[in-house]
Amino acid sequence: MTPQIALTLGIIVVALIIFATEKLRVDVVALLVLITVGLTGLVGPKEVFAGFSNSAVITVWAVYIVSGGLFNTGVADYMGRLILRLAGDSEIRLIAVIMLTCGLMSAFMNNVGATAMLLPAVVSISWTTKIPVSKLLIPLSFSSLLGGGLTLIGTPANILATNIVSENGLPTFGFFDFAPVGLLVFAAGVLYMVFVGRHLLPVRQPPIDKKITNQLRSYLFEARVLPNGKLSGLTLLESRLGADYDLTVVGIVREKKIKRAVNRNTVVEPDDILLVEGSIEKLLLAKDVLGLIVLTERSEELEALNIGKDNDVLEATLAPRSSMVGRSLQSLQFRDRFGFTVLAVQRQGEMITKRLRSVKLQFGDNLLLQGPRERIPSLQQGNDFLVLEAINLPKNVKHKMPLAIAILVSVIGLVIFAGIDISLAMVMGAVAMVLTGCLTITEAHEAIDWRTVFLVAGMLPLGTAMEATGTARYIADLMLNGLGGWGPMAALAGIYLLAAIITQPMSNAAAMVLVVPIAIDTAQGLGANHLAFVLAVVIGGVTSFLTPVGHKANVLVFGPGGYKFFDFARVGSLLTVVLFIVTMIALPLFFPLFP
Amino acid sequence: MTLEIVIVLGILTVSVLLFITEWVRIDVVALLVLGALAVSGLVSPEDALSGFSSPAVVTVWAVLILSGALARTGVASSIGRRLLRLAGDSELRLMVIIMLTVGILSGFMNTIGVVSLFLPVVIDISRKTKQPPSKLLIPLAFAALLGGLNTLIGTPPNILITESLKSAGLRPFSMFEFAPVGIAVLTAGTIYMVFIGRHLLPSRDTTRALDANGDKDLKSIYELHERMVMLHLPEGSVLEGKTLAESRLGSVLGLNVVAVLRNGQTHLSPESAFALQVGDRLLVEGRLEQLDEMRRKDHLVVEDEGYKIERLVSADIELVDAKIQPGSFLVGQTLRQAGVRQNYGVIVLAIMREGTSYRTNLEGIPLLADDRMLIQVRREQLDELHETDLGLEFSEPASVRDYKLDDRLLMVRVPADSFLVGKSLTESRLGDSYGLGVLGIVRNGQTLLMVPPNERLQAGDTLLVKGKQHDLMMIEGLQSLQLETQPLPDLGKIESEEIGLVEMVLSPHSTLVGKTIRELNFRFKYGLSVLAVWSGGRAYRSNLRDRHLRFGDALLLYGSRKRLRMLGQEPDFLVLTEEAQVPPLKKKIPIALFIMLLVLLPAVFGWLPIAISAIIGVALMIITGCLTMEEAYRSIEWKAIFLIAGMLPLGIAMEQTGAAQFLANGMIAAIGGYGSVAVMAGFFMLAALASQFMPNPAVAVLLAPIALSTASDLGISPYPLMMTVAVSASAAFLSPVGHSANILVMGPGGYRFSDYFKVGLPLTILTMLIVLIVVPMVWVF
Repeated sequence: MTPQIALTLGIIVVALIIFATEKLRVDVVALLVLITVGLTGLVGPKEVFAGFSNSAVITVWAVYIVSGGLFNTGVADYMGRLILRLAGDSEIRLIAVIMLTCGLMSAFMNNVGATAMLLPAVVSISWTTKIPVSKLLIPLSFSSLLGGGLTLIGTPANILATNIVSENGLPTFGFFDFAPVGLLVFAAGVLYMVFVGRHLLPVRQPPIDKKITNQLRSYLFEARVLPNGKLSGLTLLESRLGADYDLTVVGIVREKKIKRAVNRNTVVEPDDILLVEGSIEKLLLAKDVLGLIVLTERSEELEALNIGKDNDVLEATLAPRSSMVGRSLQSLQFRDRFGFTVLAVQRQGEMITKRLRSVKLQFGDNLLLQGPRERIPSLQQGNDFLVLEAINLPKNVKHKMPLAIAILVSVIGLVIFAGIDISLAMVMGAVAMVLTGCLTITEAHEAIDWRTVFLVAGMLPLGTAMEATGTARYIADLMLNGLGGWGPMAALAGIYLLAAIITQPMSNAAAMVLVVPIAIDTAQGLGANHLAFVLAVVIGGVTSFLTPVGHKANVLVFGPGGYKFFDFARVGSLLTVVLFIVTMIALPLFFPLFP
Repeated sequence: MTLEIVIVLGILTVSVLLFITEWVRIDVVALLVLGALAVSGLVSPEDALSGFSSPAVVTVWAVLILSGALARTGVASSIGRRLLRLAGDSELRLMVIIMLTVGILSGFMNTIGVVSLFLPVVIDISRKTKQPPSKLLIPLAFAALLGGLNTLIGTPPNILITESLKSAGLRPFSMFEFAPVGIAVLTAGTIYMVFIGRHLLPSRDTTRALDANGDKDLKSIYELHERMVMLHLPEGSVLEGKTLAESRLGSVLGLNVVAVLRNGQTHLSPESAFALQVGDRLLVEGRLEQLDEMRRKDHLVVEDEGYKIERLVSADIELVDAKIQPGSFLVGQTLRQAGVRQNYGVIVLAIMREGTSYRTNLEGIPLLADDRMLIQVRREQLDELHETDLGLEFSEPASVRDYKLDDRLLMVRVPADSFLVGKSLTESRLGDSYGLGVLGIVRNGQTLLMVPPNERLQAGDTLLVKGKQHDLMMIEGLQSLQLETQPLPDLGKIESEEIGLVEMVLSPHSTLVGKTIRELNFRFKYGLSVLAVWSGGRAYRSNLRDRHLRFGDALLLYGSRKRLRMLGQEPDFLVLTEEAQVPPLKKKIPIALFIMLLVLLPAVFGWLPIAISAIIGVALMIITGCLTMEEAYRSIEWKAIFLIAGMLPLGIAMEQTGAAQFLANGMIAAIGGYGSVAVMAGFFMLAALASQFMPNPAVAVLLAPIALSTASDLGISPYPLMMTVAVSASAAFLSPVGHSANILVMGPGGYRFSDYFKVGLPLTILTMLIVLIVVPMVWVF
């Protein structure tokens, strides 16, 4: 071990520790890695920034734009309808069709995007078919991960692995070279979910179910306003019920009629009955100061609250890259802005109902909202929320769907038949999407997930350093010494598991940067086919089924499905084993180890 | 001239044309250039993409993030405010101090960032000192442009020029090597603005209007008083107890209710849920034609008797029950979205869901599987529908009575003097605004069914409508509003502690450019009314809702101050008053300053390349919490990054194919004979001209290889020429479109295109003279 290898290993270990502790965001860690590698001179000054113009990185952001174009032109809508038409209401067929559709889509666009697109459609299918949504959403997110393995552009990991191989001067994968093994793995995943996983999936009623809204209602209290109390004649804002007591007035019963359209300027009148949401302790504090009588009997009007036709309870999930992330409902002035009252926030399987005003929203939060149906469009505008209702899109872009698909097909055609570099073809596809108006240039910039781009661009110099300093070879030799005696299959399995483990703390794209060079060196050490080893890394790295936080697609379905943390492990652990076995059998078939 | 040179020059020409015509946005142009170069094989795929990892590009985005951190922590504004306090009210001193402060800060931050940071501050100052903002805003923008010339990182052209020296194997410019020229130009520019430019700046009459309090009176600038009227809600009006939304004052009459006066109290900017009372006086803003016409005349008379639903059936029109099958494309759509009436010629009368009949406002109800709809349709159309795969199951209505439509069927007569006579059904807005569906017209004893929307109403028509009588009465309510002839109350009253008027522009990173106010749902979403838009030197007050917002437009907003502050937090808007700015993280000021020092020192002493030290600075800013990674990404101007990264390969191609050499030869042939200074002057004029209609980083990228070739052909030092190109690429003073800093101040300053030319031309000439004198003194040929 040279000092340089030790230094590189040191950087890797520290980076892994920081990734695992999650003290810093992954893209910040990647920038730090880039700086460290540059300052220590492990790579030359030219190569420090090379990540940003790396063909894989360019392809990744261009694919985000092309995906954005598909998204904008209503492919999701179409696919959702297709699912329903094909599947009918049998659970088995539904799961199969959802998985096939989502898998197919995520083969050509990014996984989170495909999941987000189909999520509202699948939820509304679950309502019409009365199949619990928890039976459908894990298959949805898992299939997006599995489908990503079908083509070169399916996930950033595929793009990166392909590129790293070619930069080593070795023959690399073609556009559909992933497909044979990918299809087997995908098929195994679908069969598993349909025949085994389905029974392991929990039956969770979605939070919107009557029973839970009843349960939520227990957090609503009624309080009558005393005529001589302080509140009479004040607006809700002036009453400071919210500011001082953290109580939210969701409705007012006045003259036996319930008034739900309340806002901060609504004036409280004597003998009004306020429907108050919040903690009973606070209400008891408030009642003496402000002159309220807390009613113990629930009036009929309250029962009517959730049944009203124009006032619906609905769910909305924070979209990926929502600008609401990190902001509290109070700072957003949520009710004034959107006209909905937040009844509860569902996060990682828990229902938060207290102190909602100061809850900071996170990606994957599922909001239970109550408010007038006609204001739903105000939520759907912009890219902040996925309203779990049937989706609708502005009509004018719909007819551009064939155009968007045509652009995607011609990009793939250019790559396969004209031999144009994938990054260039994708950039041209992105430009074509903008020029044809499938999405605007601003939307294009917004469609790019810079976190992934910077993560990969920052980690790439470390990959370069691993090869340049011989660190990759060093680890490969260690593996060969340890496992080589058991034959090449053992080495293949070892590489697969190494990728599966490294991918857990960091994203799978970053894991590729570290593990692919090791895989190549291991294969060369054995004199075996490097493609088989690299593919093992890709499949091992991409399939993170064990936790809801392993992949963004999992985070996205966590809330709407009403899942608990370990639901993913229960369904996913067996799937991981199945996929491992399938891969080990399939890989040597399509990529003979010793050609 | 080889074929390759021809292709390169072709691509160059086309891209310049696209920049000038603005058919596509500049970053798209750059990506097209990149694609064209790679496909034509003029550069290798690696070179085509190399722009993204060029140290220059990395430096540009890293500096943008650093600059964002300085803004976020309040470093810049606290320095600025301290300096501006020195100025007092003298116009001269104010201008000098603004220009010098902005100029110095702009050396370390990006230009547009400094301008958007100081815009609200300067507007507040101009309000306090009673100076028209038009006297201060162009100096602000120009000073930011001039100040960028002081350091290597001040502006992208400087970074690009330095990088191109480096890649040509020459000694790059150091951090402060730009300063001699930069300081000379900034000083001269300031002196010029104070003594000459100041008198050339407009002082628009409208902006002069100062009211008694000495405030800049936004109301009179936008000439709002002409359009304000007071309406009175008389005894017995049906509008009593109705909310503003229900009253349909906005949707039918297009009026903005600015305030409601009740019992001597003024309720300013009432929310849409505000309930009206008899005796209320409404201060409204908007055009009154609609109301006038409506008030003079009769509208519709409701006949005592309704009609039976059977009247809606005729020889060729029937009523049919349509059940939605699961899997129908209609599931989840509303009737409006599916365009059921336009596309399939079907009128939906009612929807039956789980035993309840929905009869009104059907257009907005999302349909579910198993819903049953009662539809009115022509027989031949129905046959056609049977053929199409709509996922509908048609049947004879089992019992029309189930739909309980009868009490919603009204007959109304159009009297001879109704204001509706001669209007088409669409123009009558009976459907949109009153929720009344016209199902048939009885005219001269004949019943017309399924009337096309362009059918005109005639006096004496009797309409078969579906709707609530209550909705029809609302028209009477609107008619009963009385116009007050008394003088309006003091308009100053429409501002108060809680409610205010404020100006806003779209921020440089705004994602809303090109959207209309209607699309943004502005009033709905932000609770603020847009009263007027200032664009291209004049105020617009009508049809605002359908105007496309442009960068540089100023919007006059009215509403609660709290909401206005809320708007200030949105990254899309820049609210032009200091109180609406996001409070800076003042605690972090020392940290941010220290990090800035850490970035500059190694670069000054040459210990580290600037790209590396800038990225270290970025990482430190984020780790110490001066800004979040999200804010960091947001402060990167991706448009500029993609532009530069896309244009760099064109620079490479010009060099490799000899196109740069070719153009250099042309340059030398034209002016080489007059000496080195003439060549410099030539480059200055070329770059200054080009930067008026091309983004200035692009000018720098394209002229740098030509300047290098020219210098080596003439056998002179390349440094004077390169410095000239760097300075002149930033000298975009002649038009607002030359630099986005200029556009940003255009709306708030009320400038016209010509103002920039008038003030900017002498400044451009002055800058050229100084460059021609100072540069050869510092860098010898």
